[in-house]
Amino acid sequence: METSEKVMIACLLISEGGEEDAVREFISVLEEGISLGERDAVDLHAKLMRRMDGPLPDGPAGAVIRLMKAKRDHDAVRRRYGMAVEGLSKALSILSQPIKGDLSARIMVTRAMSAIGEVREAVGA
Amino acid sequence: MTTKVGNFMNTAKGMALAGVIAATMAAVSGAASASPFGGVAAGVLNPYRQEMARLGDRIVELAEVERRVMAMNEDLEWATQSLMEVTAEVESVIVDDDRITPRQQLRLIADVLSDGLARVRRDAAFRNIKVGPLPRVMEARDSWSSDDLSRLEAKESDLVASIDSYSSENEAALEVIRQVSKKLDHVILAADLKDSDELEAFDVLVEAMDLLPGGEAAAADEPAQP
Repeated sequence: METSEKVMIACLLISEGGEEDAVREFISVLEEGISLGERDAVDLHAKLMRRMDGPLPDGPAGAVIRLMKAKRDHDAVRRRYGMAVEGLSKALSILSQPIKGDLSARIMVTRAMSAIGEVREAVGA
Repeated sequence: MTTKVGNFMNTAKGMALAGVIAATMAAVSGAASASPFGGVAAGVLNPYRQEMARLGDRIVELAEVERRVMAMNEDLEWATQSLMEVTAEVESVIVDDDRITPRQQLRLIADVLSDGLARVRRDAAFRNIKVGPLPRVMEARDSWSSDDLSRLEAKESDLVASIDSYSSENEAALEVIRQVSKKLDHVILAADLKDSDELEAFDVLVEAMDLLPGGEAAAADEPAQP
């Protein structure tokens, strides 16, 4: 589990009246369960994350959850952007290689188009 | 076979928390708790609540950080989408044509790719968008008229930051989130506010927040009111 997710779950449950020690222990076993691939932990984690799209507590707890969600979105979009940049850089790098002949040019075309195709698949657009 | 979560939920603590989780889930369509501290008795502040009380004094800054990060996300989303449009343009180039030599095909691909990236760069600058590193467009366009495609070797084809580096304000906003996250994670797992490193981290958070409009540093820069 990512740190931001643990923070979101803690903010939500404690703000809803959960006892701190219980929440702490719960997050710990949830994390262990997920790492062991236990179905109930995985499902509960997914449900809790979906819950973050619902109404949030007022005050700092809600503000922190919104902050963590914004960061999570940021990490995701940054990852996609990075993949797009990486793929296009690869294509550019292929295109700037010296050409030794027609066969070499043909191979470069294939490789460049393949790099471009990988971008589309990786970013999923 | 019992699971980690299953075991915990069978304890007294777990059962009590299960009720909270169920109530929380049921609150999807309704209003969430109006109290940031739930039903805890007034005056009893555990580590988490102490930390939240401190953050409560910074709620305006937290909202500003959120706004900044969301704006960054929009910028990055726009840039990603723009790059995907460039890839679509390149893929639409017909290279499988016997009438075009492989060298000409390469030139065609390079041309479309380069034009597309130049457009993204121009649009990003026009929109004053600051995003992560973008591949530099191959320059020396005149050289493309030559058959010698090796001359396409870009002077700037490697990744370098130009218009695209994160601004210091954006970095500060991300740093604030990292610090809040680190601090609360520590509080949640260790329930300890006495760790000097963590207290130092909190100071970093405060300093980072002061970089933002409305922070103490910004306030100090404002001329005194008569």
